[in-house]
Amino acid sequence: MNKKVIKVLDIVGGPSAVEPTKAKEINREILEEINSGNQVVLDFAGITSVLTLFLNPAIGDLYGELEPETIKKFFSVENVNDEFKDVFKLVINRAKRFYKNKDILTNAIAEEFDNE
Amino acid sequence: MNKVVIDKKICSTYDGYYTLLEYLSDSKFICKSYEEVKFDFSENREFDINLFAIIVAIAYETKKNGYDFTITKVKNANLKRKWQEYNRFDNLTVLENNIPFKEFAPDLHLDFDQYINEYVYKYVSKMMSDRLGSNIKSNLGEIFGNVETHTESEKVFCCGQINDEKLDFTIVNLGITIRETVDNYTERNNIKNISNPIPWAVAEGNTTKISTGGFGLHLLKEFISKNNGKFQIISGDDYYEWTGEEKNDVFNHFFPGTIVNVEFNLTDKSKYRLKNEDFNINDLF
Repeated sequence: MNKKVIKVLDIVGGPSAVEPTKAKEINREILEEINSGNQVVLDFAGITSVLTLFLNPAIGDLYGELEPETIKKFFSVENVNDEFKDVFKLVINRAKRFYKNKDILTNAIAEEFDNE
Repeated sequence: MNKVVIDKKICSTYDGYYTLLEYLSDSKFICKSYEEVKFDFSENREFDINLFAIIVAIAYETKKNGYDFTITKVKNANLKRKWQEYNRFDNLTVLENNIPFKEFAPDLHLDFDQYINEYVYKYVSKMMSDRLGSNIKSNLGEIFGNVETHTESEKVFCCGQINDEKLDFTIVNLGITIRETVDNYTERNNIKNISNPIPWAVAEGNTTKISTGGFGLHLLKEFISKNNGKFQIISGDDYYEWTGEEKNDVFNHFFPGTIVNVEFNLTDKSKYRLKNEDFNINDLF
């Protein structure tokens, strides 16, 4: 299994990881590598601003394409500033919930608002 | 008469927004008979400058429909300066303790992030740890990001006001309202209608997107309630306010887009932090 390091800084072109279009580009690259059987490390070195707006399409949407076990086995991040850990946590947990229960959640929402 | 006389006091309150929406209705009525709408500020003594973003949105909407728009007899020096600068297309006032007006194309996420860092976050950062601050900035980024994702608005108008007691920051778009977005979602998915769309849209985990996301305002709302601040959304004729408790109402007037206002209480001397939880991100996958 080869290991591919994707440097966020190289793709976003600066210290801010905020643009969804760049995030989608990264998401496609991660998927391509994992689907080719490679291990992917997403490197946040040099990144001083990270938004959920970026992490949702870059990392969260992986759960819509891959099984959680596959992501755990083939994907990791490094050099993430401690300041952003909770933003990652929010995005990962939300994506896991969203893609696991997409249909169930939709029905639950409908029921919850049924009585109003 | 082609003028709308602005009340003595227009603030970032339920009544203030209601009055501004009333002025928008009046403007539309005026446009049936005249080619120009004037907002007359001769009687106005108090105007929250963050609401300038709404005045510009009304001006933009009026001009887009082929009519002229101007404001006259302004006494408030800050408002006067902002209006002059807006008309010179030099819309960035950089003064001490001033959050400048700025209009963005909805895809300029980087510019908005810089604007937040430079003009808003620096005033509130002392009340929060860096980790919490990153989440709050992210929440503000999501409010901006939702304009591109959901509204089809051509512009986003932003303005803020700061004094010793509070900081108000207003983000306005002229696009598809939250109710329209949520109604389209329920129709598309063949699920029952959601009668109060804004509380649903701002609740953690709910999204009308087909991919993960959502307004994601959980931490901002929690911070606001602890800080005794305020968070308001006006979208279409829906009014929503969060101060730790939710308030919903429906206006008699319609705003063709969405206004979001975030108010931070600057008299709060506390410093907030997230629960100190040490974890490795890679263990979360």
